[in-house]
Amino acid sequence: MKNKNSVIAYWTLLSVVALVGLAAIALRVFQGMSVTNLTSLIPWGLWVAFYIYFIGLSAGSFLISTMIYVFDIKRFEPIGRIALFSAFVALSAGLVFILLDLGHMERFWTVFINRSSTSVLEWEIHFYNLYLAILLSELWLLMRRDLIRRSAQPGLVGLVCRLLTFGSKDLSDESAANDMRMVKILGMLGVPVAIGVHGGTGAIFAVVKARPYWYTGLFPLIFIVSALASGGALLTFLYAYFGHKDEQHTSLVVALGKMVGGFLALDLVFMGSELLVGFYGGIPDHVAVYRAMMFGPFWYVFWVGQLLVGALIPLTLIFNKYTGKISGWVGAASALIVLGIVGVRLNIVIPPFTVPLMPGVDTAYPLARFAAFEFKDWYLAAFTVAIVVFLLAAGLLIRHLSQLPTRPVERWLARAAGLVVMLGFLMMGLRFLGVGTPVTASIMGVPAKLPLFFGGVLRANDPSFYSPSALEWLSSMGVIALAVMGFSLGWLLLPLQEEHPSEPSTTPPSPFHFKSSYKSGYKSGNGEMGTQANGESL
Amino acid sequence: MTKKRYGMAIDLRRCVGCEACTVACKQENHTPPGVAYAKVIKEEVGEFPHVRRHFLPVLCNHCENPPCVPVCPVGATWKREEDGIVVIDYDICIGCRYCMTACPYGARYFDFGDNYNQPQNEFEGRSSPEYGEDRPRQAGSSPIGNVRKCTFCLHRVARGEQPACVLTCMPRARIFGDLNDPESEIARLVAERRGFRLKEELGTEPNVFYLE
Amino acid sequence: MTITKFSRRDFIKLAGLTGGIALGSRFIPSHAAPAKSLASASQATDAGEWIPTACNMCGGQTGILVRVENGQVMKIEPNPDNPIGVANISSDYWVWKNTDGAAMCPKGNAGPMALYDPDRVKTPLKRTNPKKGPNEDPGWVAISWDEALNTIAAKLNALRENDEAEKLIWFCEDHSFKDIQEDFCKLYGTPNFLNHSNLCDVSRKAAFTLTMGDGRPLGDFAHARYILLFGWNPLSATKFSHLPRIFTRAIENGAKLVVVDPYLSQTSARADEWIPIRPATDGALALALAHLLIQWNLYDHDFVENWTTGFDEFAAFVADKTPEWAEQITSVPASTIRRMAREMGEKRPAVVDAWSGPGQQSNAVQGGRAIALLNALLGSVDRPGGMMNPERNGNAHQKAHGAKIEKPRLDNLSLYPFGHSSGVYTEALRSIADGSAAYLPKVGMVVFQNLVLSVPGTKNVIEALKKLELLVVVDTMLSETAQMADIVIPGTNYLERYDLTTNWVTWSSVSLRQPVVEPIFGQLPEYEFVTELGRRMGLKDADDADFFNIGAVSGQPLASTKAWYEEYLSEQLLKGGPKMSLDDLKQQPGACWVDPTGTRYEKFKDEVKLPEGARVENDWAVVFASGGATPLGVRDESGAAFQPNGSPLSIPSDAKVQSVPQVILEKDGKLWGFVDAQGILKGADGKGKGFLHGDKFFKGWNTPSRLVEFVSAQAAAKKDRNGNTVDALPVYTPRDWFPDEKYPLYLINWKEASHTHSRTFNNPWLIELMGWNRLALNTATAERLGIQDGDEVWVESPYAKSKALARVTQGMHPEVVGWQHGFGHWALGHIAKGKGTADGMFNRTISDPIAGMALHKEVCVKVYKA
Repeated sequence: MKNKNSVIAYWTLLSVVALVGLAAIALRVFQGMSVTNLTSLIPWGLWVAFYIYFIGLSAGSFLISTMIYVFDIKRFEPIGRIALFSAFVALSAGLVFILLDLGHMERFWTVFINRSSTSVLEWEIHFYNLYLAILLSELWLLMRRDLIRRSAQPGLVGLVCRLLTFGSKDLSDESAANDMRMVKILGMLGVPVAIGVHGGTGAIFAVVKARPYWYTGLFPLIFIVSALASGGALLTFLYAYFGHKDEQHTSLVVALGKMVGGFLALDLVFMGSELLVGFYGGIPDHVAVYRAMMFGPFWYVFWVGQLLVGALIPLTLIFNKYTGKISGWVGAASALIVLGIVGVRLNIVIPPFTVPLMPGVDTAYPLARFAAFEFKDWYLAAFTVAIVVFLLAAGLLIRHLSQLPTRPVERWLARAAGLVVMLGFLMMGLRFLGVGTPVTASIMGVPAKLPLFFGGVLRANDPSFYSPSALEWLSSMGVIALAVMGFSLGWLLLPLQEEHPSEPSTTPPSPFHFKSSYKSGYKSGNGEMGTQANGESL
Repeated sequence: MTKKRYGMAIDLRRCVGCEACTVACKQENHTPPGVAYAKVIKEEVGEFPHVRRHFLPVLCNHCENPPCVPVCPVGATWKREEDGIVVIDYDICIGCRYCMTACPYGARYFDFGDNYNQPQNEFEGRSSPEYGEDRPRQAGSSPIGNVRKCTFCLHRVARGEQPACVLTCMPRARIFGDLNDPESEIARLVAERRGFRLKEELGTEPNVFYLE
Repeated sequence: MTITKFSRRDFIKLAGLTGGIALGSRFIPSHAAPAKSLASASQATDAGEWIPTACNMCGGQTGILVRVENGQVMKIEPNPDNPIGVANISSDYWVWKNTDGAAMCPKGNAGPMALYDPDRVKTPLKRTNPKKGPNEDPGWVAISWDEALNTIAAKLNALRENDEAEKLIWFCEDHSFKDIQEDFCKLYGTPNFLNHSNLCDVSRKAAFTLTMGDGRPLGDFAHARYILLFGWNPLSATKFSHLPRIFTRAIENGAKLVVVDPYLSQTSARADEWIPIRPATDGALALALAHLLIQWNLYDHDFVENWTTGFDEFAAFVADKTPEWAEQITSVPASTIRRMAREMGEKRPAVVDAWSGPGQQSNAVQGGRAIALLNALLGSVDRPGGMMNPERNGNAHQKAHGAKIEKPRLDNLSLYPFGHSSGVYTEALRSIADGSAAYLPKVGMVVFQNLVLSVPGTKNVIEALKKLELLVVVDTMLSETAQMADIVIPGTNYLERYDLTTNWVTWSSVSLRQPVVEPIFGQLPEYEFVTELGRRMGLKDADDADFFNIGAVSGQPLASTKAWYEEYLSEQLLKGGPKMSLDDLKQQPGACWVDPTGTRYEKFKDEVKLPEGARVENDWAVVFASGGATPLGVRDESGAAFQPNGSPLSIPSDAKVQSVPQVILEKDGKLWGFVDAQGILKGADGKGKGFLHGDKFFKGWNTPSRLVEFVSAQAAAKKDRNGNTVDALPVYTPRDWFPDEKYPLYLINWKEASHTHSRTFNNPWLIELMGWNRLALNTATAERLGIQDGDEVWVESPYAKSKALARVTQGMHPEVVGWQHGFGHWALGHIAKGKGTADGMFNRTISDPIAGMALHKEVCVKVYKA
């Protein structure tokens, strides 16, 4: 009953993380922004990084879908709806993150009435709306006929699908053609909007002349390219592991992988160009940020997270003659890219703040907050739960990987990869335990130097230091878990892959490696899923 | 009536780095921990025994072209037409902190809702008089959750008083006034004495002048 | 970015346009709201009453205005009707108060946070844990005021009935409610009344008194053109908040400010020149400067010839005090000394001042004299741009008439030749701790003092306090000293109480500190606590009057202790300079009486006029009691003797009869004064009044010779605490404790604008300015010791060892390490606790042998990486 256990484990883990996260979010709502480790020197942190991360995933996914529906790259058609759906989920997650980050969450809606035409952020909000409308319309048009078909099914699936048809019953081919025409128009409209969504998000940063690190013309473009890389990687990963394993599966994964690799390589070129020009110019404010990023307390985010895990390893896997042809490896490489881009996003948002705007302006007054949020016992408990959950997840991954039906070398490599992921979580955890103090500490005293795991040394009186608070991490993990849950539910309930009415047995696989099992699960009516252990394994 | 252009001249020959301005501002505006509109940068230069320590008081520059203003997604901050003071409407600000990233001087602060004492003492709990409004310090209500900044003590200026930092300054290093009035002390000083402004290369045209 | 030049209205239009596109509707923005409400709300935020009073966040007593609304302090602002905070010269004051207004330091601005500090003591507390020590929880229980007062009164009465009144030792702060405590001690019968001064500047007082007859001269810095400061940080450790202004005014007027200090203080940073010096060698530098001024003939001949004494002897004495000699001692290059001397000699007026840097060392008094005498050479005494002898026609404390106290003082004050009435904390506490005291006190009273952190040699202080049977501490905070107490009485914040503050400016003025709010916990202010204690003990004065009940002005019994104290203050005002009652003082602008005469320069040139119709006799003699300087009477040429009031006198056999050049009688024949052989005019009481110069009497200085004394005969006549003769000349003697191989670094401490003594460390606004006293050490020294900025280091002296955080700086003498004083609390409040390192524990509990000044800065340590 391995698969049943996996299913239970999957949902349990997600629920635990989501619940802890929701508790953290509740605390955030009631205690306000004081629960963060942000300061007036470093006003943006983890949540903003995750915001642009998810916006990037969303825009990237969407842009890839436009290749299919606008540029007629039919090859990628199997991932079309997944792309749109993940774009939707990622956008929602991104917006939740930015909502969390608002000092007055309750006023979020006022962005629609208090207008400021000169603000990039304001324009972004409208881009998001437009974008949301376009992608949901597209998705609906694409799924419409399948939704109608599924409406007939009993249980939750039928109910959800019936509701989502919005009364449409037309299964004719003309209507389908009509749909596709509409999709194409919407897709065409969507291209500039999606570029606006993420290029514009890049522009939010790029127009800030106060921060030379952001203030370059290349910045919005990097955002778009890295969005394509991350969004594409997400789709590749999803499709590699959970897509229809039909005859075109591997070749499609490989093709997607190459494309993602290309975007990633371009991203690296852009980044290299930025670094080169920046270092060559040697303007202190500019270079200092690079130095902080590459050699500061969080050097590993750049070297290990962003470069090694997020670029070098995946590029090697994708372009290697052997692994580059195996969907599992390409999928794994894509997963690493998806993870690595987190590092990219963190390094976009945080390092510029760690360099004072003027020499001494950071130490002129202790901007580290005086009576800042204190580390409480329940955090420790909650965190312990969370870390156990993470470690379990990583363990499961390792187990899966070690059971790969491949050569022993690969299995070992896979285990090593799993270990790296596990270490990553552990590292995050240790950082996270150590972070209750620095902000409060910087003026209020504490030992001169706080050792940070892999993070070098923190000077006690260094106010230019930010490391997310426990609550920031927990709530972020919660939002991510909720997003994954949302995506999984969508995957279970919605026709995200094209259905062929003639072959009703080829229902889409669930994300947890069991196929055609949901029907029986829902039939039994007890909500328990995956009782049949005949799913494909990796 | 000609428009006013309020500005401040800070005489660096006078400033002794005592930070009375910092605390006077806290007392006037009831700012929480981590928020200090007026602060003094201290910098040590040279080698023993030829060492100097320089003091540079900084505050919001109330720029002619404030980079913090256009970025606000809800238009909660603007430069007042009548006197050039850059203000924030606490009831509109959503607390996104975009303006803080855009200010090249680090002159904007976020009110995280912290207090000096738990629970806050009587003085902390009192209202902040900023913008001439009484806003008691209560969790969840503005200005908590808002971006805050120096207002040139707008509420005091409206009463015909000097900003709190100017009033308290021990060496009288701060001169506040209307730069558009050629008869004013500040306009005269700015015209007569060699001075500089911070980060002029950004084209922000600060209205805080440093006299050397 | 032309877009930013858009007006607000344009923004709205544009935004409306775009909003219209997106939403089809448009909210009217509420942006106009703040501007609109401003007009109506502006009054609301300035409402309430502005009450003038005097600050007491430090001893500077700056004039302040406090806005009070509904019994709550809303705002504190500077008060331009009080010279403190404006200027110390009246002509400046009367101009600047209108053009510049008054100023206030960060501590003054942080006043409300002190008043409403949640850690304040709210009720009397009683100790339940008999064990005392820094790590002992006293186990406080709240007790009633009655219980507290009765317990103390009973204990004190028991002592007194047992003829052990001297076994009460009383420590008090010297800027607040000191007089009544002094009176209490007098009436109670203990000689052991000590106050804060000898922890601060009594060596400076002694040095200046010896040279120019005034213990607290104030520099007229604003009008000087060359200012030389030895170990003083007036721009940051602002005793008076007008100091930064008058110094910067001087600089603007072209003055050169030179600061001699081992540490690049904020003042040194602002100065034109910083002269880093080895600690406690300032006197040697001053002597070398004197040597050059004389050698180069750059001194003020006229002044030196006419208004000083002992110059030739002094000139001979400094003849070999060359810059090279001083360089060896001070580490200041001889070339620098030469330049300094030339500049100060040529840039007049030049003024030289010193404070606690050189002052808290064992050679402080003579070094201080050397520094003070530079002013004499430069002619900068009581002249524009020089050191001014202030006029102090302030409130007059009418001391209570107590019975004469025969018992000796614990601190052996009389053995300190130029000791201060504040006593000698170190000797008292050390002798109690090590048992060498003449007797052991049983009851200790500590009012508004934190002895444990402020007296050098923390261990001794703790030991001494432990030996008391009853220790009562009156304080607003549970300080380290309060933690040693048996009973703690809640004190008042300065905004809750009265005081008269004689202003520290160069002319007379008195300002009022008054309760702007009622004591917020309903506690008795310190003076009412003392009054109430006196009442409960039934203390009477020597005339058997019920001192603590009878109003000083009305002469009637007063039930209210507050009313009684108000009359107590009224009397001081009526009999002092202001000649007005307390109520009248309250009505003065700024609650401050300012003598309209203003600052007077060259008061030494005041002619002493003989009374109208006075008779001068040239062949008479003065009759002194044996060994006394007070005349019993006079003897005329015929041999008949008269008492000063004119009635006949029979000359005692052991009396000394001295012929004097002039005896001056009043019109009615009463003795008015006489001129002695040295030409000094003395009054009927034998005290100096002036001196004969040409054919006129001039007031001169309040020294025995009525002149500025390069050579001090009165010093030479005395022995110091160690039994050594005090030098008549300001000789440089090395201080007692020098760095050696084991403890190779000097340790100094200082103060900054951010904190007062050890008491403001629970004030979060001030802790934000300075939250930690990192140990400053020179970059080269740090490199040699392998210490980096921010490192944790051990600081070790023979008496203590403690951890500190290093601050590596170029602004420190390489042989010296140092830090800001007052940190390292283990009590006081939740904010103060655990921040920084206490500095007192590294010291010995000793004082200089001449003035009894506690030696805060005479310590050597080693520093190494922790």
